[in-house]
Amino acid sequence: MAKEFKFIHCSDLHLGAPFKKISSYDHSMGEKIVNAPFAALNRIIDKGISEKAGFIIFSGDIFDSENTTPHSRFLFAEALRRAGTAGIRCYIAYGNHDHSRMWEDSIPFPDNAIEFPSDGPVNVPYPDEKDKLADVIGISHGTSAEGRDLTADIHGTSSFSIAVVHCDIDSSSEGKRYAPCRLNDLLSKKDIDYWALGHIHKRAVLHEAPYIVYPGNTQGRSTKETDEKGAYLITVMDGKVAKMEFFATHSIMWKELEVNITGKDITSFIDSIRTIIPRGSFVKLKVSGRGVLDRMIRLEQKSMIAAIETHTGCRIAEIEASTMPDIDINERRNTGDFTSAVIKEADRLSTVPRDVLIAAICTTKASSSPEIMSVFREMDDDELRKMVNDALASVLERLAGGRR
Amino acid sequence: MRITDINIRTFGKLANRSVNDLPEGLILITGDNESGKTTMMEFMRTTMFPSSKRNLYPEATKNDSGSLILKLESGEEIILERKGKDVTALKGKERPEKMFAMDAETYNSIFAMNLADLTNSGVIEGIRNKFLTIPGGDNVPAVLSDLESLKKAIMNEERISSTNPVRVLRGEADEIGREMSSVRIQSGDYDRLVKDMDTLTDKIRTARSAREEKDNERTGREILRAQKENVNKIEKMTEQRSKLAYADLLTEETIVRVDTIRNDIAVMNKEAEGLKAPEPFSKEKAARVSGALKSASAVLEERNAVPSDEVPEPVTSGAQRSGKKFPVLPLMLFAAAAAAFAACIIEPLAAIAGIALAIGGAAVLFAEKNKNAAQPVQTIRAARPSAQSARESAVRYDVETIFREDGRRFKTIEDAVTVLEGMIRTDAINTDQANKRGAKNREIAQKNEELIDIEKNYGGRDSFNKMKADRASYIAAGIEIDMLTKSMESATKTDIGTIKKLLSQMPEEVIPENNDIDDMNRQRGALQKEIENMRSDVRLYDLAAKKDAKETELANTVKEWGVLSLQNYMIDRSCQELYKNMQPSVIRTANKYLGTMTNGRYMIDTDPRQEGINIRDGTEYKTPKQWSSGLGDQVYLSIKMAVAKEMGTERLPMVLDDILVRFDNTRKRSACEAILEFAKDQQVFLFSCIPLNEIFPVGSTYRHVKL
Repeated sequence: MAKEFKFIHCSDLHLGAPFKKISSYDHSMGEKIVNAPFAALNRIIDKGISEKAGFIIFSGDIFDSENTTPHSRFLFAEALRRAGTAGIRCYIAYGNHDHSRMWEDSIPFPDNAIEFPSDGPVNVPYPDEKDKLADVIGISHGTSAEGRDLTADIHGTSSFSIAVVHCDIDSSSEGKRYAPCRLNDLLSKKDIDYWALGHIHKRAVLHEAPYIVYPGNTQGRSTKETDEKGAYLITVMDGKVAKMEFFATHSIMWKELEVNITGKDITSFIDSIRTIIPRGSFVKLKVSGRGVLDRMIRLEQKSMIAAIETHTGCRIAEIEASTMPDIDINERRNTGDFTSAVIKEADRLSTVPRDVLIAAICTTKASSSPEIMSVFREMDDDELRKMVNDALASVLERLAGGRR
Repeated sequence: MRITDINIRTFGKLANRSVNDLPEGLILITGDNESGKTTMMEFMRTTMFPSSKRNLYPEATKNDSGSLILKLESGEEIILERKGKDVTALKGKERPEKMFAMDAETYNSIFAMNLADLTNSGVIEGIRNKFLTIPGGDNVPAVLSDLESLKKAIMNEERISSTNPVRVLRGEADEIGREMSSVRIQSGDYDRLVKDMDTLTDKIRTARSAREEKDNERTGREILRAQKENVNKIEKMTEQRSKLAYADLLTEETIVRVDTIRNDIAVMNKEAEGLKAPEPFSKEKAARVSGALKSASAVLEERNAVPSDEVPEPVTSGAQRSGKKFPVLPLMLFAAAAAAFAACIIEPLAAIAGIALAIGGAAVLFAEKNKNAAQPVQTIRAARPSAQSARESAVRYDVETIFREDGRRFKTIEDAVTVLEGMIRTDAINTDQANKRGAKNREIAQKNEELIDIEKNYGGRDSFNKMKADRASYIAAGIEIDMLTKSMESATKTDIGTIKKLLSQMPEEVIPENNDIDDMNRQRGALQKEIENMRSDVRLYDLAAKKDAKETELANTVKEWGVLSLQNYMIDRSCQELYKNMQPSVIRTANKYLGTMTNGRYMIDTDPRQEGINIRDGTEYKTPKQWSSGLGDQVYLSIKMAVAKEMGTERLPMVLDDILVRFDNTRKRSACEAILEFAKDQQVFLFSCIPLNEIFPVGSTYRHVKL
């Protein structure tokens, strides 16, 4: 008789963490936003129960240390308890956001919760050593800036082996790296059948057989975390992954939409959004092109957002504008007039190093303060360069007498 | 173009005044005040570029007439004929304003002016915008002003003020941050609260156990205390009972035996009572009665055998003699009273005997009386024979003796016989009763003896009776003690010995009620509520979202400021570039004249970022407000000459009316040098009330006309 079992792999729930960069906090949305990560957790438990999963793997960052509250831990404990009642075991490895934990004594987890330690990987066979279907080996972060390669000491067995770890594979990030490791190293560990990873919020199956999987976060929290968010339901049969099913857990979906304003007025602009984006989505609008709407986007953005939200039922979280007034930049670049001088200056600024650009922005004493400069320094390159484009579009508008 | 001829027939104060064959270059026209210099200038400019505006000086009239002859650079000649206000270009040619697309206002502002026209600010602004800025840059000052305002509205240059949005938003975000810290600190208390609650729960549990123990103890004590009276009673009864313990020597069998005997005696006494009757006659009396009867009977027989006269029976007693009735009732009452008295005084039995005796006596007496009453009074018969009589008398005597003993009387022998017979019968009965009674009494005596024998073993009757009573009390007390003991043991579920022991050990103090549990329960309830509130507390998420929103708004505001700053930067950089490399030629020309006039001290500043016209003195920057009037005249003259020089392809004549009057001689000379420079390739009419020719540099080329 074939040995079959199912498990769920999820990570990065970030219970209690706020949505990022919602510029004007909307109380009417507040409850939905607050509840969304918890709703995702409950969907995972529901799925585990309905699919009769044997266990659920939480690959780190269940909580945000800064925003962990008795409420979040209590609800998580309740969810674990609910899973336990259905006979589902929960394996938990902690990540950089929840390496430190509070209220462990006052809000203890139920017995079906297995928390992996940080001092070395531990194998907790499922369901037990005697009737083993899988070996589940995991390790947690020990600090908020875990520098160890946590995968190094993980080794599988002859049974179906799952490694649970919150780590950063082959990251090229200039910033902090959390539990860095190499894909090749993981692939070299032939006795691990499934790497249940966490940390990267965008879901990705980096490899199959062995499976190296980032399920992504369970609820998008910013304009960078678009589209469906959820977890994987894995079916293992005779020691091999037989089926891998993604299921959505988000309550609010973030969408990114590119709209060209050329030739559009506000009505046709809104229509072009309404036909594409589902109601209730949180939207990042990337607008481009030349036209009359450039002025509205730059000068009347708030009222424009209000109009879009009213007519589309979406929440416009951000407008990223790379629009221009109705001016042919290329044509104007060589006219020799003042406008051409400005365009050439913008061209120059687009290519100068970041520091030079930031220095060009922060010319006053007040703006040279670390408080202000840090805002620009923390911007990524694209965002910083986009400011040049914004400035050019605006200044051309002004020089043409469009603004007082 | 140059003016070759000015022919004024009538214009203002001038009449028939002509200046002809005028050359290129400078034409200096001097004259005293009121010599007609201004009138001539007005004639020239209003004829070249007629204006619809009213001419103020000289006042236009319909008689104005004259002509101007112009010669274009092409060599073409144009004659402008003036009549009144009308100017006509002869030979079908076009007038200058149409030919050069220039109106009178423009010409007057740039080419033909007096001192007032030279410094007219409106004119200067127009010139600046039109000639001193490069295309697309004329809005720069306004744009910069806007940017400055917008930037300052977000953040001051030197220091971020408390009212700047950047600071306000930062402050709001920080405030939310502090609130978050406060919530975190409160959340940090969760462990403590839960621990406190656990501790309190344990305390309550312990206190409850203690309270239960105390309650049990209290209840036990109360039960014990309630038994104390019983215990005391038992002890007292036990003590009393112990004193009666001797009576337990008396056996139940003995008591039954005694009771049986006593009962038998009582019954027998009652039977003996029933046998009571008058005592039988003594033998002697019985013999006497019997003898008397016998004698009487014999008498009677004798009498019956011997008839005799009836003789009345002798009265044997007063009563009988008087015939009075026997006093039965008083006797009975007496007997009853005697019995009652005896009952009260003596003993019941004696009383009863008394009563019986009285009744018996009364009955006998009554019967005797009736007997006597029933017997009629005997008539004394005739005397008997003496023996008989003697015998009768003896009988009578005997009978009377007998009767006297009994208080009887008789009248006749017959009566006596009857009585005596009755007496004998009665005595027989009495004798029988007496015999029976004697037998019963003997039986009673026997029982009494038996009883006495038994009672004697216990110290006699009284002692026996007391012992018997004590035994009953002893037994009853034992039963009562048993019942009480069982009742107590059932209530306390403890044996009496333990009860006594506990009572002896039981402290007297009252165990207080433990109200701490209620307080602790209240505290626990409050803690529970606090914990539950904390468990459902989502303030931190809310605050985190608000803080993020504020910080996003702050970042966006800073970014907005950054974009404004970048615009500013772009304009600055563009202006600097233009300043260096793209200076308008008008400025360059004006600076040449201004340099001549100021000996190179001042230069016009062409920074497009500046409003108006500014100059630099070396590195010092001067706005028009900082200029002297003379400097202003120099600047404006330079600019106007430059504009006049650079404007269009046809170089129109310049007409200047006393514009050097505010200059000192040095400035005048410098100005003249500049004008001479200008006039090298463009005709200039310089009207002056002073003899400028005297200050012109030696060797200067010009034509001097005196009015």
